[in-house]
Amino acid sequence: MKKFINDPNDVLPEMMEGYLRAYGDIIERIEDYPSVVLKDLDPGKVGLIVGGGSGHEPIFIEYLGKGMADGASQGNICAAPSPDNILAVTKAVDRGKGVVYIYGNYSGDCMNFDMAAELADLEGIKTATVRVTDDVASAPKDRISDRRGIAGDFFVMRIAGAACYAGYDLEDVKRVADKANANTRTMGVALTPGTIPGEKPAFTLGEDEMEIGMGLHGEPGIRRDKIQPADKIVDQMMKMILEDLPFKKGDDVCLLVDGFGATTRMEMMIIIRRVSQLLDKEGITLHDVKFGNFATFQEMAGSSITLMRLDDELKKLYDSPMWSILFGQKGFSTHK
Amino acid sequence: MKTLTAAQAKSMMIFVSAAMVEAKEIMCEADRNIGDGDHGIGMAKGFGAALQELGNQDFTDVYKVFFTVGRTMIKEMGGASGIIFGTLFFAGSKNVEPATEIGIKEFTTIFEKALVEIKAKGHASVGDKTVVDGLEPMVDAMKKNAEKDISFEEILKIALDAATAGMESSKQFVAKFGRAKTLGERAIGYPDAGSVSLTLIIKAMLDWVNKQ
Repeated sequence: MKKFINDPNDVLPEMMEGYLRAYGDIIERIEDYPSVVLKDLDPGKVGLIVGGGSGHEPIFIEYLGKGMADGASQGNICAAPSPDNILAVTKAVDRGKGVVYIYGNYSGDCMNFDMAAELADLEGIKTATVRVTDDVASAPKDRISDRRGIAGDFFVMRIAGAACYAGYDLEDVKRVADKANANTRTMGVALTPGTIPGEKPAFTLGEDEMEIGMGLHGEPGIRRDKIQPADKIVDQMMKMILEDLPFKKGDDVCLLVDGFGATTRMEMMIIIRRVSQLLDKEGITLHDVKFGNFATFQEMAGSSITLMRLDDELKKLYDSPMWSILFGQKGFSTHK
Repeated sequence: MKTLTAAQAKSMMIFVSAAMVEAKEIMCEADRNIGDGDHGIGMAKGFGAALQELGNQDFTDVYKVFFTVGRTMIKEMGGASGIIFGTLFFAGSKNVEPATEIGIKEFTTIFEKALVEIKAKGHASVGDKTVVDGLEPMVDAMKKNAEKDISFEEILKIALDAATAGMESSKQFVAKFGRAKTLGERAIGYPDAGSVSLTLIIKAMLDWVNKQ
């Protein structure tokens, strides 16, 4: 795999050096971990920490901002951060009101964040945890708590960030983030694998094949098929998303189309066009559209479609002002 | 040898940690078959840090030795294996009364507590192709013999045989956790890398006892 790297062992420290050059006015690094916090934290608010393995950029570092996350705790590539790493970030963002942890539901992340929560408790910092479980393909609905978190992370983290900024207390931030998660569904389809620098591709897919429901790290999906026209692929993904919640006529939804790293914006527009047609047909109102690279895996190609159903509270929080590294510069509200 | 003093525990864990750093490539290879091949890197990092921590301290409490190894691994490794292998030493050595020496029974209890906590944290059972495939039969075998009048050499031999048999049995399983999960049936025929590491740890303990 051709990549802009020097030594595979230096990828993470060199990435961090780059991030700090690019955003050093906004973020600071925590110890020598690939973890960062906002320099300017508003006093008296609940802290929001997001995290997981590195290698999925822009998540998690670029999710920092006002009305978004205060800190990102990251481990090695595709490996959870250690409890001590998470604790250090926790101490940096706590303003006496407690800290919410939001991360995708993967066993390594769960174990390390749980232990960090115990350590934080010993230091007198209250924490609450929300695990994102938006990936419809990763487990049946009767085992919804086994589902993994993928691109839907964005919506849950955004809602929680907005709630922190609005001055919600710890319990209420958790409540509203849980609600966002409960109303968020994602389906992905993989076209080509991603490669961790210095390693073999994470999985193999034939030139003419796609796998519906495959996870970001190559976790098996629901089925492997011959590649089909975009509309046919989107129709299958949307059917599973709509039936799962289920989304109904009259619902207001936010849409997020993720490109996994390598999918072009041209293709994303073709997907957005089809999703909109299907939502129109169902009588579901599209409140907002986000597209681009969110939860990626290196040069992986494919796409996921995420819908979050809004109620009045979620809508108000979602529409509140924000800026983030991912969406824009400080001083501008680039949302909507 | 029927008791283990704090100084002996330190010497043993220094020996084990050094052996595990040496075994980096073996662990990577075990992981490369059905995972992403980085298991040995994390384990070598964790045990390498433990080696340094142990060298910096004098111990009068046996449990503090195991606590230091486990806590250092949890801090330095990250990922699922940091918690799991850190817990192997940490679970049975935290929140216990200090002891200048321990016997076979107490030594067995360390692993028994580790098994309970690893299963609770990881939600894995025997047959899921995880370290539990080796650890559970190992703890069962140790418990069966812990009340008998036997030596550390004997109990570690029993532990190693059971852990090795468990590791061998993991070859027939489809993985329920970790990267190997993506392979489905293709994981059959390869042992779980964590089970391999467990046998290496116990083997190194036995080697140390045999040198005494």
